Amino acid sequence: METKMKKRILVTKSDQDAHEVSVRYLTQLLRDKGMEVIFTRYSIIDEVVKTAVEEDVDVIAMSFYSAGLVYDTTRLMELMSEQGIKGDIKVVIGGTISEPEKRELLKIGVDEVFMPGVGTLQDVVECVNA
Amino acid sequence: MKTKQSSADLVRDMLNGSVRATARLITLVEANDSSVPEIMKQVYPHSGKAYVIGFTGAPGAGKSTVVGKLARLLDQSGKKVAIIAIDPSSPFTGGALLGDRIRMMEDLGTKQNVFIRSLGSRGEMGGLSEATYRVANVLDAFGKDYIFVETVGAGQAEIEVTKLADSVVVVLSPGMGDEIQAMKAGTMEIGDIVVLNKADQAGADMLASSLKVALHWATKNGEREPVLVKTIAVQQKGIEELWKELEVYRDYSIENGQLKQRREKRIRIEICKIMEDKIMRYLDKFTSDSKEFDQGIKEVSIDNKNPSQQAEVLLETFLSYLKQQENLK
Repeated sequence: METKMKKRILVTKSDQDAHEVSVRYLTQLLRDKGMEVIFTRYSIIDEVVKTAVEEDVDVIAMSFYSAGLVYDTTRLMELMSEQGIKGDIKVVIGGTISEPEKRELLKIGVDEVFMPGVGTLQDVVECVNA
Repeated sequence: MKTKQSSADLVRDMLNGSVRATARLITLVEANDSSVPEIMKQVYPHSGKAYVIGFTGAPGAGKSTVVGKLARLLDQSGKKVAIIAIDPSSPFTGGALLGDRIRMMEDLGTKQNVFIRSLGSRGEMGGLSEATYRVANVLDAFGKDYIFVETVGAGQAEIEVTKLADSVVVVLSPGMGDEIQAMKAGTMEIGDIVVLNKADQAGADMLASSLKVALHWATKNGEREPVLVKTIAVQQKGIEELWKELEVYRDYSIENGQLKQRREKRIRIEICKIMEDKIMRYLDKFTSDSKEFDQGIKEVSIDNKNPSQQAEVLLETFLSYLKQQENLK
């Protein structure tokens, strides 16, 4: 009798942010690793937590190439605390992020931050799969 | 890392209204975890109230949009809806891109009473139908009034899933092949209601009239002819009409016993699945533990015995092993 627990990942970004090539490619890489990837675009960050809970994901991966990074992520972490899922679900953020922003994100409880010029999408895949 | 919770705790939390616990239970049920028989035992007494509607059709016809709009309509009238959206898993890696939800975000993104769950088909041998209806049972026990099951209309397993719903909606759209395509096996046979979506596009009226003819031909004497509903889902057009037709069909299916028949079929596969799982568990144990089985293999490979005959002999041994194991309990 085999049981088939699969790793489930929510890959998401703001609907306002048009930069989507990298997340689409990431989605493909994660899928090819045998994971189940739920891909969405959100209008407000509250949707992300609702989705993550209903889909029972192991990881939330978000991408930011424009405004909203710190605001959205802070709100995400707050909502996760409210729902009692902070720490239960890993949060990984990537995009055009500066050093001070990265420190801020790690401080509020983000598990991993991927910045420009640091590593490759393969590293993201490994981080998600870990 | 996710905190571990016993299945009994999860069921208790779900019945107290926890979305998180419900989602966790679905994960266990979908993976056919060893706790599933226990979970289903506890869930079953609380289920049986929800009405299940299956949606199928070619990729791109607008299933997710139709489902999303219909869910919004019901949500506005205070009904609790759950959506199970099934997308194909890769037969090579087992991975899947579950992308139905994205079409529903605009309407349902923050609607607290609408629960959406994406499932990968996880291969046809994975018992998709059983898993899907167990998930539906969980959502039913959670207190949902309506459960929509959406599948891509390709592949036997997916069509089988839809066929087991209380009613079935087939979604089509113009520009996806001519009326001869629509007459191919499947499409015309499984729908209780056929939706022609994107009804504002070129060729929609032509397709509608040939669909009506095809539906008429596909209906056997004495059966109810599927109704054709035209929608432009992105503009919310035709969604209320679709809902009305679904209600009409529900009344009809209660009256003529079709609903009862379909539910009995679901119970049948559920019971078969539980028996099958149990037998498989014993068979696994038998083939890995029993000396007779190893001996049987040797007799074929070394003494050149016939494998078919050997299987017959071993089956007898297994059956008495099964009885013995059951008696021990």
